[in-house]
Amino acid sequence: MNTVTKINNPSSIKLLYFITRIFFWLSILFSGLILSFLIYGAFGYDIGARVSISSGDIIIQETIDYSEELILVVADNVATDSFANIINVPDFSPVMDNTSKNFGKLGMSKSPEYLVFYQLPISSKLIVLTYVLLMMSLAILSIWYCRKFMQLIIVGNYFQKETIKNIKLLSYLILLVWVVNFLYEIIISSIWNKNGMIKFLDEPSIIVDVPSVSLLIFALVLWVLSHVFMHGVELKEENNLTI
Amino acid sequence: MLAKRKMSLTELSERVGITMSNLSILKKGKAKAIRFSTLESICRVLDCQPADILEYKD
Repeated sequence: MNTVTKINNPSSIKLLYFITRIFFWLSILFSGLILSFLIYGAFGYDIGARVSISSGDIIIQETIDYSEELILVVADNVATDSFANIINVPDFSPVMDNTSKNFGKLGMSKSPEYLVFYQLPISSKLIVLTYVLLMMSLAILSIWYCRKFMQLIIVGNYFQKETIKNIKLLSYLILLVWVVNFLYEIIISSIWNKNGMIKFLDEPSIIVDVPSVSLLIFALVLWVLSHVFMHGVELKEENNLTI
Repeated sequence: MLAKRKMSLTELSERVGITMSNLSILKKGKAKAIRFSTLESICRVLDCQPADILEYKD
């Protein structure tokens, strides 16, 4: 810790370091919370509320009773973006509401008739659960690497193999998040379409939405940057060994 | 050359003005490059030619 005091870090680096540390613990907390909700739902229990989680805010609403049927949308499709903002993506509107058009993550062009997590067959539940588990672990891991990177930066190890390796791993993780997201959307939409679980009020059509390309571009930019910095590391080593 | 001049590594490092760690890097042959200024000052201190302290091994 002595080196920390020696190096005069700009306050932005200090702030970022602080944020990554807080984010790490918050992501673990949120993941635990979401997972417990999902597992509760997976065992067939109805939590009697609609859980909508977007960018860190958890809103638990009372179940809305739509005249004839009680429709619950319980964490039906939890998706995570690269930094563990867990978003309950498709805002599915219930059966009566056929005027509103939903363009959710699954890319359903029309409102589904029903989609209740705890009523899904076990296979779909498993897919959703593994997806969420995978996404959460990926998110936590990427934040962990972010934190590790910031820890090395704040100590002053800018051009060191270990520091750059963290960026490289981060880019791989973000790429993996993108791939997993993409696969999940294809798998889940095909399964749900085949089983007729999502009944479309109009013509049945599923458009698989490609998960945001910006994530892919971000990962690739990070990957390229890690290579650039790797060259910087070599130059620094050469400079250090020039006497 | 050091033995010839009866000089210790510490003395050399002090007189040349480089740190002991850098000198040991040089001695072990780990150094990737040497500045002309460093070479010059070593030669001046040891009163020798660069060829006396550099050798090429296949």
